[in-house]
Amino acid sequence: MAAPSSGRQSRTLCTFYEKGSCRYGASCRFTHGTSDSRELRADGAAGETQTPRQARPTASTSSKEPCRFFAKGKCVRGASCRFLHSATGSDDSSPAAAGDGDETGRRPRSSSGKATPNGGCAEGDEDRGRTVTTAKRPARPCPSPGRKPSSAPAAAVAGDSRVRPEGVCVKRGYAGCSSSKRSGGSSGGDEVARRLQRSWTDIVTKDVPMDAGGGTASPASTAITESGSSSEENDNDAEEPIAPARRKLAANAADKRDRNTARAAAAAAAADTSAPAPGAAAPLDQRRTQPAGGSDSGESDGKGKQAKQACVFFARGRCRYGDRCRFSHDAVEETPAAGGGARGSHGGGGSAGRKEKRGVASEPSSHESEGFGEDEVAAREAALDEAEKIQSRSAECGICLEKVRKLGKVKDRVFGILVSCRHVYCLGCIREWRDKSDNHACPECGLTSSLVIPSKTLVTDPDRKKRLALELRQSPRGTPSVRRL
Amino acid sequence: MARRLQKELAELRKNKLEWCDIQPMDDDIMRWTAMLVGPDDTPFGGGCFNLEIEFPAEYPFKAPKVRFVTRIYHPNVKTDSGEICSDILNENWGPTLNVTYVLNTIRQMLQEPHADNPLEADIARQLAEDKDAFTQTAKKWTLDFASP
Repeated sequence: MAAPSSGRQSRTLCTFYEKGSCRYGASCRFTHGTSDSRELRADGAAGETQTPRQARPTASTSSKEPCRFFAKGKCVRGASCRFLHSATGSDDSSPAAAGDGDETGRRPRSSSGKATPNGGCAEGDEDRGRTVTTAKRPARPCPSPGRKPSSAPAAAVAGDSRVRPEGVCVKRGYAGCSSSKRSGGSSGGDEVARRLQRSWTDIVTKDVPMDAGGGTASPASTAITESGSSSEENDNDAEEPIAPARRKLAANAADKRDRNTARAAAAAAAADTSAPAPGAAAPLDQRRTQPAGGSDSGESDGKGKQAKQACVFFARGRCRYGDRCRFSHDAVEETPAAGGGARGSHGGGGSAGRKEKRGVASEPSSHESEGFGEDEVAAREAALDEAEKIQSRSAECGICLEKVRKLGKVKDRVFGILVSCRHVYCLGCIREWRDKSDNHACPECGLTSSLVIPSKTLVTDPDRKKRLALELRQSPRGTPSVRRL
Repeated sequence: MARRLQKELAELRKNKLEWCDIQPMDDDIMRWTAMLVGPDDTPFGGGCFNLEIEFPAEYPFKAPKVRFVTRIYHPNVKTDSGEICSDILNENWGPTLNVTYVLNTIRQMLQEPHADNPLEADIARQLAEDKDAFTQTAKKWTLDFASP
């Protein structure tokens, strides 16, 4: 994706939005609008500006007729529609939105409009106007209004498991959120509070760095998501999905950190919002990932790594995580960069570095979403893993008649999986036979296999085999001769 | 591959073939002897043929060598040495095959002599031209050499 270096939201148009079917609504990382709006946004980036959403009303004013499609949530023209898109956002030109300098580039994240008390969240108005599809998603309260930083630690503790650690952001998000200062009592307060509790951690991690000067939009609100996954849906394109298990691990680790960071954040809440939180809060990985920045990105451990490190197992042609691997499988290399750029949000120049990080940070989350399919796939994979494990235990090599997993030497306990048939051999035996025979036929069924896949488990699922074979062939050493493991 | 032979032997002892008894020779796992009973519907019926099976070091990647110790009148078996036409075993050999396969193949060979590629051309010719004479001679040999 084309990520502007400024760290703003990606200016790439959301194709789904154009079709009227973007399910991420306001939190979509891509621009919701037509190309016009995009230009607008780009132009106005430096200063005050109109976001596409804001632009829309302007455009719409030309025609007083309400947009029928917009009412149904299906207007494909978005901001450039000639008709009035007023159904959702009555007050398009909310003072709050207009007033704050940093609205511009910011990533439309929350659909907080509804839940937010009037005027509370700067984003609220904007969002309302903006998102056509938002309506379908559950409204997310803007956490910022009426919230006090002090609640943070508790929330963090209670936070859901997907949380990514990020102390700094939290603080800033809170403190920075102008809306929180502005709106004393929030009508949506209760609900907001409840939700906030739940999603606090999300906020923490997702939170967009605040622009000190602008101090306006509530990043927190933007950051909040219904569930961990929903927020992650946003950025899914760039990154590889992670296995749920892995996620959990990361989350656990993150959790601990969160508590600390959140506490720290609370303590410092009153302090200057723009100041980056103590570097300590940021997980090591993040720092590693984003050398430029310093303290603040909110990135989960695993993800950070993915961005950078190449997968050694993939290089050897036997990464068993395949697409889900957290490490780079070469092809993915561009991901990190893209993520960084795409994400940024608030306009403040000073926070550019932070934004970048931020982008990267959120990146990881994107993938979970990929769908709900993702989980199913993961479940299936897990089931397959289990089945393979079990059948591997008792599988005997058709040549030496030994149970492969019980072979004398540990290094011999490897299956040599033929791509064309399901007959079981240990790697040593089948290779020996293939060396000695003139064809590469399975000794049992006579089917010719061009490749023997070394594997610690007995892989019988055809899809998996294909995947393994592909990895093997793509790996540097992985020509069909595959001599080594 | 001694371990594999041990396994095969254990298996054979567990599930005995009715028409064959098998033993390793002198505790050498690489050499076995087998006593094969001739199929009833052949001139070899009622005979007990002793076989010697020698496994190459490459076994099971190479087929074992089988030799008739007992004299037998058969186109695919050398009359004087008992050597078996190598094609019979080697042709379709694969490492997943085993001693049972070998014995079955030999039994099969007794039932249906391969006249195409004989080791004993004279016997093969006789089988093709005058089957009765062949049968008679084979029966006589079985009686003479293979009777218990």
